[in-house]
Amino acid sequence: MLRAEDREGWRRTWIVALREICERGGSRAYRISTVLGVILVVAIVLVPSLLDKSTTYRVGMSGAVPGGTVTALAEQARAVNHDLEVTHYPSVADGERAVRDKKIDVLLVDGTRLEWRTKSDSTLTAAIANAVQVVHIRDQADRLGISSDKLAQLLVPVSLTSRTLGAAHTADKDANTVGFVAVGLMYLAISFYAGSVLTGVVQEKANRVAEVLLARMPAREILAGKVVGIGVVGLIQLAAIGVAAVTTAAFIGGADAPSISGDVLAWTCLWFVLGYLFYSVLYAALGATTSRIEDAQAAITPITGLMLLSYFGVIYAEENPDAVVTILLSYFPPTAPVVMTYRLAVHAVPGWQMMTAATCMVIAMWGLIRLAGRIYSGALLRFGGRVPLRDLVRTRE
Amino acid sequence: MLELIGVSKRYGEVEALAGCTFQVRPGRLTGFVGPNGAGKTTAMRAVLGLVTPDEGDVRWRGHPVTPTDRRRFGYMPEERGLYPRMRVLDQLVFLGRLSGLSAAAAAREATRWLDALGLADRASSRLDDLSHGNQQRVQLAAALVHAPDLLVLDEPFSGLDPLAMDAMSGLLGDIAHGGAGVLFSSHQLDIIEHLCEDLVVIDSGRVVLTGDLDAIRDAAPVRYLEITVARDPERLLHLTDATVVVHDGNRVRLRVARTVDPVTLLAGVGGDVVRLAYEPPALSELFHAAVAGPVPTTREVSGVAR
Repeated sequence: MLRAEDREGWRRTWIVALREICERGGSRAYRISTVLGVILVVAIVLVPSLLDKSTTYRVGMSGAVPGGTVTALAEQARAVNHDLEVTHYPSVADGERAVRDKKIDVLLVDGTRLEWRTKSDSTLTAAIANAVQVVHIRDQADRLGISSDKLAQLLVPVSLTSRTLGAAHTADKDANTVGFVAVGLMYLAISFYAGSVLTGVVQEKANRVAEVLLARMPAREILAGKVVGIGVVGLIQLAAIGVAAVTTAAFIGGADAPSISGDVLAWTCLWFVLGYLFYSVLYAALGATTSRIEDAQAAITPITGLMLLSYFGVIYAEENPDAVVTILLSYFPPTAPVVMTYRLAVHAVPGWQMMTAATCMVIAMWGLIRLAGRIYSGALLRFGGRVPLRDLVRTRE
Repeated sequence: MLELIGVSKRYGEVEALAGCTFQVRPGRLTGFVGPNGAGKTTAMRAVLGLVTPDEGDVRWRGHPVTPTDRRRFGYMPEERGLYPRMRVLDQLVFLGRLSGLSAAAAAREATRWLDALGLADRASSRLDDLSHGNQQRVQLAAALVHAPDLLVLDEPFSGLDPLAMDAMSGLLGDIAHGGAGVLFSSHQLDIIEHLCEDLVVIDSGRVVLTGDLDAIRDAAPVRYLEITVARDPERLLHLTDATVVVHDGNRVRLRVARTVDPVTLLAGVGGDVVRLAYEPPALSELFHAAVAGPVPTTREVSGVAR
């Protein structure tokens, strides 16, 4: 049962949060940035598949083509997930012109010679070589009296998949790509929205709204309301962009789009929320010690350093996924959101490790919020240059 | 009633308040004057809880002031502060709700104050699209939207044109006479003199003069006697117990001790007095005397003391 004063405190916190949501969410800048974000992410997903013409092999043939070559080539192409488009040219010169005009990828002359425009494609070479080989084997088999049924059984093409091992074990290339994209997004999202909290706090102080608010409510309620409000606005924006990305990927039938499991997604969202809370509270406290946005950038430099540390942590983790340092970096609250995001995307992280990291974060937040509240309320009414942090931690205000 | 009792606040080497003691009575306008840096803003912030005193008490209706009490205070800081890009009505509703009003009540009160201050047609304008004077009015509305029991205004008259000053004076008078206590600071002593019932003079963090303004003036040890005669002003220049302050043609201004009876003094002056005024010193003189003293001490004036 909350005391009346506590209830009032929560109510005021929510009113501050609601103001941030309405004012920021309703602003033109927010709508434009959301639309741009959606367009950008759709483009990122869509454009490679539009530009990617290599899903169809365009093969020209001239001279004597052994019977069955086209059928055999079609089978080979299907095995590596490609369509096939075959054009026959009456003369080699016609075929070569088509190669030069990029109408076809390669010209097969007399079933034995390949002609390329600038450089050869090893996969296509292999496919054609196999097809030619198959036709040749079939001819030989006919001569030796092996039935076509038996031959077909002998010649079913085997589909090969490839996987890059990297220096360390278990990390596959796809997962690593997802990991780096996730880390980049996490880093950007945390910097962006925590940065919004920073500018919001400095503007409120510079506009002197802070004093009007402080006369009505304790600093910690203002701080909490601001962080929550901007967080909600950020989550809505990220969700819109995320849904756009997933929908687009599903629409183009992304065989190439790496799949992400539901619980990894949930944990990633949680780490965004934790990382955002951690950094925005820090930014808010440090922002409050300055009166101008230029000074605020200088004030948060140490924190930017911590963010960078998490980036280096990810680079280290790529090479040493199971090293103690990697695991510690994924527990250490300032680096945990980014490093844990990477580990989650690339490996299976044991549940107890997730819980430990989250617990460390929550404990750190508890201390941080108390400290930040003190710095924030002490600094808000002191104008001019930077307020020394040492004064604020000691002050009774 | 609001009371500050021995409130002290020190910032490093700077003593912002040094045992500051005064009171603000309900239903009355209290003027708060003092040189720059005397501690006015710090004292006001201590009332609002923006500054925690190192020593001393802020009391409201006889008990130490609580956050709940403070929610019934209205405050207009010297540095005006509102959101520049937020719409005027939204802004007032927001601040009203933070002061404890429901959304509906906040909207109703905000609209009422915008009407009262002649800003009804600007309700949906953004603050920074308003003129300076209108922004000041919105700031005042922000302090008033929750109908506070105590209104604390830091320099409410600064930057106002004469018409706006009259409007502000009238409004403050109405609020005080509606029962709220009003404390406001100003460097314009004539406004304080005309408007206020009570006075607090602060210097170097100490209250050097406080009480009912009329009583303070009446208690001054001197009086001014200004006489304009039709001819021969020289006979006024050598009266016993009177010092000539101004001699300008037929007009003479004399300073006399409070104990000197003007009727006796003027008994032999004759029948050609054109104008006559007998009055206590103006606030500006009392103010200068109070803040110039080498060792400031609080002077309680009888009839006003607690």
